[in-house]
Amino acid sequence: MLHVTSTGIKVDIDGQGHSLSGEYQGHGHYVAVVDGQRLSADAQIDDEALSIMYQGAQYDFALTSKHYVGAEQSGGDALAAPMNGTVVKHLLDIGTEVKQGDAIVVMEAMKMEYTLNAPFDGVLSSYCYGEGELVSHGALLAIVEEQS
Amino acid sequence: MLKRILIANRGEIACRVIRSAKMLGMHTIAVYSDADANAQHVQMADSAYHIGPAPSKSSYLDMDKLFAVAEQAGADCIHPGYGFLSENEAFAAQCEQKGITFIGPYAKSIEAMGSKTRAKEIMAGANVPLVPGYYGDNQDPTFLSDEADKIGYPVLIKAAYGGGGKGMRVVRDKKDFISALEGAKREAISSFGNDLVLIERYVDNPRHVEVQVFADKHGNCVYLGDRDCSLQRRHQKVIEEAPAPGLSDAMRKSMGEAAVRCAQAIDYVGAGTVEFLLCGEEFFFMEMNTRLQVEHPVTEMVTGVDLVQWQIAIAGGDTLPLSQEQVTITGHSFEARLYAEDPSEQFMPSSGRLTHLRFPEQNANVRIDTGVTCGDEISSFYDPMVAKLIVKGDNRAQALSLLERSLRHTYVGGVKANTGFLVALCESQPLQDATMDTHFIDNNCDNLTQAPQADVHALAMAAWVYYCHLQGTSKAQLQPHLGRVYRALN
Repeated sequence: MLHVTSTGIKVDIDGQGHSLSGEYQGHGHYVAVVDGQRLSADAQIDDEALSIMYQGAQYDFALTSKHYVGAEQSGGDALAAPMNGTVVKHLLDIGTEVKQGDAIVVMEAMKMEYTLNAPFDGVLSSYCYGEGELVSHGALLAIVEEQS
Repeated sequence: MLKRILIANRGEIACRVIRSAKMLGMHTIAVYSDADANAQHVQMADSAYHIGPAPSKSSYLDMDKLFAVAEQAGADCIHPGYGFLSENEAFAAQCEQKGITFIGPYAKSIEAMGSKTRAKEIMAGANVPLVPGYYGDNQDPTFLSDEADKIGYPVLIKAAYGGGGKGMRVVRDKKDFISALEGAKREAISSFGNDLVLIERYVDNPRHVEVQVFADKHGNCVYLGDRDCSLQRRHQKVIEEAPAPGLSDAMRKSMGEAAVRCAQAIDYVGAGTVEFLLCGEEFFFMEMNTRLQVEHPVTEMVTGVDLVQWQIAIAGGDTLPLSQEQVTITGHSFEARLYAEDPSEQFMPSSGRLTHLRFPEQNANVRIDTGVTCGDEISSFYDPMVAKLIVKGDNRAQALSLLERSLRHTYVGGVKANTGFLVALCESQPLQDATMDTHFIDNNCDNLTQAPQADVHALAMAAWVYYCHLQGTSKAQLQPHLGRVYRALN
C-alpha cells in the first residue's frame, strides 16, 4: 500500500514501511530512492499493466481498474470498498486526527453495512466519494495521511 | 581493391559488415524485404534496394534478385553474412561466373564441407582427428563388438538412417553390447525400415570448442585462437567465450594446427571455423563452417583483429596481415545472444514491436552488435535475435562479471526476451567454474528459466513508477487510485 503524506511517500511491502522518493528521467527510465538507497530501472506503464525491468529481470503487474483491491486483500484495515456498493455515511470530519482502527466511513452492499477503519494513526485528509455515491469493489473511500 | 560491397543479409550482421566496409572507404549497398523497409541496415547503408516480400525465399534467398541488384548498383563484391546464402555453393559459383567477388571461400570448398561423410574422408586424409567409429556395412554382431572394443567404451550405437534418438543406444560395458545392438536394430527397422547401424565413441561431457582460421589466396593460413561454445540449447549456441578455458598451450596449438590442416585440405580462403568435440584431453573434428560465425566478435575482442575487414581485404587478393607468430590473444571475452523469446514458454519466439530497448553503455570492453532500435519490429519471418552483448576483461572472471552486469542493464520491452535466462546462466556454477558441457542447459532448463521473485527493491520501484504514472495522468486524481497499487504489488 502506498501512502502519500505531507512529508513524502511511503510504501508498505510485507508489513514493512519504506520511504520512497525519486524522479522520472524520461524514455522509460526511473530513479527511485528507497529508504535512502538510490535505484534505477526502466519501466513501461499504461492504465492496464506495469512492467519493471530491473537488474536484468522483468516483473509484470496487472493494473486492471475494474478490480480495485478489497479490504480483505489488504489485511482488513484499509479504506477500500470490499465489494460494489454505496457509501452510506462519513463518520468523521476532514482533518480529524485518527488512531488505527477508528471507524471512518460506512458503506452498504448486499443489504449489509460495512464500517471501514483507519489503517494507521494519522489525519483524515479526504473522502473520495460522497454519501450516497456508488462505489466499485476496491475503490479507496477515504485517505488518511500519516503524521511524522 | 574492392570498392562497392553488396551485403546479401539483414539484421545485426548486415549492420556489422556495413560498419567495417565503411571504415575501409567502401560504398555499401543493402537489400531489404517488405518487412525490413525501415530496418537499421537499410538506414546505415549508402544505398538500399528492395528485393521482395518478407519470406526469405522470395527475398534474401532469391539469387536472381540479388544479382540483378548487384548489376544495377555496380557492386564488385558480395558479403553473404551468416545464414541465408553464406554456405550456398551455387551462389558462390554464380558470383565466380559473373565476375563478382564472393567474400568467402571458393564454391568447391563450400561443397567439400557440405557433405558430412565427404568432409570426414577429407579430414581423415589431412590427419585431423575424428571421433573413433565404425561406419561400414559389416553388421555381424561379433565383428561390431570387436570394433566397439577397438573404439573404446562407452560407445554409441546409432541407426545409420535414424534420427530423433530412435535406434540409438549408449553402451558403457562390453557385456551389454549384444543386447543393446539387438535393441537398436529392432527400433531402427521399425522406425526407418533399415537396420544398418554405425558405432562411435560416446562422449559423456563433451565441450564444443572451435578454432577460427583465416586463409588468403596465396597459400597462407593462420588460426586466430579458439572459442568455447558449450553453452547450447538444442544445438543453438547461447553464450560463447574466447579463449576456451582450461586448455593447455600444447593442446591449443595442436587444435589450431589441425584446424589449419583442415582449411588447407580444401583450399580454403577467407574466414572459417573448425568445430571440435572436446573430451578430456582428446579432441575430434565435428564440422567446418565455411563462413563468418555469429560468435566471431569474441575472437575480435581478444585478438584485436577486425575479421570483416580481413575478409574484405583477402577477398580482394591481399595477403594475410599477420603471421601465426604475430597473432596474440589478450584477455578474455564473452558473448551472450539476446533473443526475443519466452524462456517460460519453451523459448517460444516472441514477435512484435520493440516498445523499449536499452543497452548498457558501450566502451572498449562492452560492445553491442544489433540490427534494431527502439520502435523497430521483431518480425516472425526471421531469426528473433535482438542483439549480441560482447564483453572483454583482463581475465575470465572479470569478463564474466562484466557480462552479467551488462545483461542486468539491458532492457527489452514490447516482446519477451531471454535476458533473465542469460543472467541465470552467468550466475550458474558450471559457467563460473568453467565446467559446462553441451548438455548443461538442456539438463537444467527448469532451474535456469524460473521467473524471478520480485524483491523489496523491485516492488518499491514498481510503486514509484506507478506513482509517477498517476501524477502524469491528468484525468486521474491521484489519491483515489492508490488502492490499485496494492494490487499491482501483489
